Amino acid sequence: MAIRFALFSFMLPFAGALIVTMLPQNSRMAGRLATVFTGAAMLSSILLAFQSWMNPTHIHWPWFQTGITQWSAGILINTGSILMNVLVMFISFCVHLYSISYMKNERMQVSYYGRLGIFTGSMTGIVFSSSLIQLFLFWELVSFSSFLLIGYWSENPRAVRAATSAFFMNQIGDLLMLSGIVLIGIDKGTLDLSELGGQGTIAVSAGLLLLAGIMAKSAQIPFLTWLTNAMEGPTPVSALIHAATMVAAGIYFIIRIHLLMPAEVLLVASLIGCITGLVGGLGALISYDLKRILAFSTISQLGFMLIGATAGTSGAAMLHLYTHAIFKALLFLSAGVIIHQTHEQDIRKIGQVKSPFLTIPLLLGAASMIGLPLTAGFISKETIIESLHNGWPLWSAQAVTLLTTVYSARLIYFLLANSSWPTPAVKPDALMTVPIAILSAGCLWISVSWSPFDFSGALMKSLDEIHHFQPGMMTYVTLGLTISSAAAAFLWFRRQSTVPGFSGEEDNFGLDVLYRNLGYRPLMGLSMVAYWTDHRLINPVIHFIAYVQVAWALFTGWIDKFVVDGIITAITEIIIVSGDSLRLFTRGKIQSYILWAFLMLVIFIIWIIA
Amino acid sequence: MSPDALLYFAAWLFCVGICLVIVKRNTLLMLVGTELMLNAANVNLVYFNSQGSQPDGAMFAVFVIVVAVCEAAVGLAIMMRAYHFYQTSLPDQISELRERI
Amino acid sequence: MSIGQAGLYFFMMVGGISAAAILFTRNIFHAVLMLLATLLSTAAIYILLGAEFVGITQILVYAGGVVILLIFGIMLTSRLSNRPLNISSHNLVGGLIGSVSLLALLILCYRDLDPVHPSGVILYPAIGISLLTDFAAPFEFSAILLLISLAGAAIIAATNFRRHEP
Repeated sequence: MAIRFALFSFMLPFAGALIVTMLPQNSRMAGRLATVFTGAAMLSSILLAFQSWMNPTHIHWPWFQTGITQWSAGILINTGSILMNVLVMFISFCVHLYSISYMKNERMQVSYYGRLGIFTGSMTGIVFSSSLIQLFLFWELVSFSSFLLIGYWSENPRAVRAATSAFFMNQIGDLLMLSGIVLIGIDKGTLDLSELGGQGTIAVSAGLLLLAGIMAKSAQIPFLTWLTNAMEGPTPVSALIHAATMVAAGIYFIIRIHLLMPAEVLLVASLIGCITGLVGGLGALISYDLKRILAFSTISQLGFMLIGATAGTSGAAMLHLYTHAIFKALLFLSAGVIIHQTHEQDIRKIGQVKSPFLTIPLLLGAASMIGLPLTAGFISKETIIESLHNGWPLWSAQAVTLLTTVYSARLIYFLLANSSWPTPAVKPDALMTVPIAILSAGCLWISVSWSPFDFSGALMKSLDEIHHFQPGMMTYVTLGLTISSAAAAFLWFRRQSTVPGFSGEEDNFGLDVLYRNLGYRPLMGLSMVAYWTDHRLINPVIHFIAYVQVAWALFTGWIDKFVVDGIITAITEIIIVSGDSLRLFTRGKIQSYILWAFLMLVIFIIWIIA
Repeated sequence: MSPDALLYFAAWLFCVGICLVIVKRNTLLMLVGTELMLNAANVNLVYFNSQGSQPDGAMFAVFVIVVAVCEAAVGLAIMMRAYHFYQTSLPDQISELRERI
Repeated sequence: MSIGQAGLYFFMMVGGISAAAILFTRNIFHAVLMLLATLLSTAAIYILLGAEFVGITQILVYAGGVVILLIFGIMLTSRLSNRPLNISSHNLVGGLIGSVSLLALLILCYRDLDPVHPSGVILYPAIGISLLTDFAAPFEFSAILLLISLAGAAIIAATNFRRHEP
């Protein structure tokens, strides 16, 4: 039964995408139909949660065979995957609902909803995959649908460039990950998630390669630019893919396998998480573009989750993944309303937002992100910080928290409280309000725990490793730090006449240029060298061989034409000539007949006499 | 006289006749050649007949002349007919004897 | 050498030369005239050999009949085609080889023959008696043959055939 629900929530988005794609391109029905299918998928994911919340299921079946090794595919249902599935379906449903209104003036409705459906189904595939190769397939499919959705406005060259760069960065990570998977497959003879693990050089290098894939997907430090560039896509897409689910897939994956990873890999991962968290926080702090701020914030939070998953406990990271998905989706959808109605993304030019339908969700989302009490974010963030024991991960996590507080305060202050700019009359319409309201409710503590301060109950209890956690000393320290820094930030922003920040976000504060000089340019140089080598060194050899072959072919052609054919022609000529000369005797000329008869007679007489 | 001179003369006539039949393109001259060959035979007949007392050779010669006349008459008639029919008097342009493929 | 022998050689020479002239002349009428000369000299040879009847018949039939027929043939065919008659030659090599080899062969054969001595005169009464006694049947047959062939020649030449009936 559980398997059936899992398969339903996997198949329904694909089926929806297929059916939607059959509609005419600008059909009004596309959004509603896709939403219905996603709603059905969400329903089956919730049913699955009720069915098998506390009893993990793992089935697998043989898939294909190489040599004597049997590779299997399968479905792995446990608490983490159920939670992730519900989350993906929930956010996807909200985004579908929101998109009906947000995208109603677009021309390519059908493509949009078809791509969303493919993305949602592939994400479910990642969630339930029990084999690495199966997971990798969906991993690639997710990259691909993300590429399609970032480049949705294909008439905008920036969007196309962003889609290409996202795809290529993901491909780099995916290639490394694939080599890791191959290494594991060769080493262990199986790719089932439950049979990984081990120590030693091979395990460490395979783990590092897998980590590279995770880093690319989750936009960790060397790969972070694609995520901010991906903000060229439609805002609901950013909310679904580039904030809540796809980028979280890396974290989900490492949560899933972190028990099997060697300790060295986890150390590297947490180091990368620290750096990414800080860099992302700084980026969010100095950007002006609303969506880029949120994107940097996502990067920072993903780094934070990576610290939690590798240095702390996976349950805590999973919880933060859950709450982050909700509040970041909420923030994106609210920002989407502003962008949709003002066609402006720069927080210096947006002015004061006054509608309570927007201010309350924005405040709730920011509060959850900062981690103020009574929010879901508070519980998850404090759980992560509680679970960190040793020195530098804890302090970098605190630093990330501090940065989060400051940039959130900056965002909120300049969106809601800065009255020095003309007030845009922005207000979400009914279809947009519903998902925003649902997500706002999800930001409250009640979605993760019955009690706002006691870390037990609801989800907390089920993520088994952490249900005994209680608020400790570090909780209060963090809380105090958060509140005081928020207050200080507000006070400081009050005295500023302009929005503090740095320009240069267009190329990610120089990172794009750096990558261009470090990656793109050498690569182009290398390819120029390769081209030159090909053109100047290899081509002449090939041309020479080709000329030799052509000459040889001409020679054999000549032989064929004049020698072989000539012999045959000569034979036919001989036959023709002899035939002609023989035919001379029988031309029907009476005198010839007489002549021959006479000659025969003479010869006969000579023969008789002699 | 040399006994063979008339024989040689007859042989000469015969060879000229056969040569005419083979070589000349005109039907008329072929007939002439035929007459010459018959004459050569006649010369032989008369020559050998002159040895004996019986006139048998001369009789044969007379019959041969008769046959030659018949042959000439019929041959000329056929020649005229063929000339009408094929519009030519050249036998090598008449190739009805050839097997048509 | 008697006068008879001299006459024989003379007429043999005339006949041989005029027969050869038939081969080489370019004019068909001349050819027929040469034929006439040959036939007449042959007739003279017959007479000199004592076969006067045959010689007379030869003159009557050949010179008076066949040659006239041939000349009529020449006139008719040249009138019909309105162009000079073609008397050119072909098969020259084959014809010459054949006839020369036959001539050589015959000369080779005649060389070993005994000389012939013509005995004398053949009498007309003997011929007449032979025609009506020993050779009566051939005589009648030849008469019938002559009749048939002359009638047939007239019919063949006169019947109006049409070529390629549509």
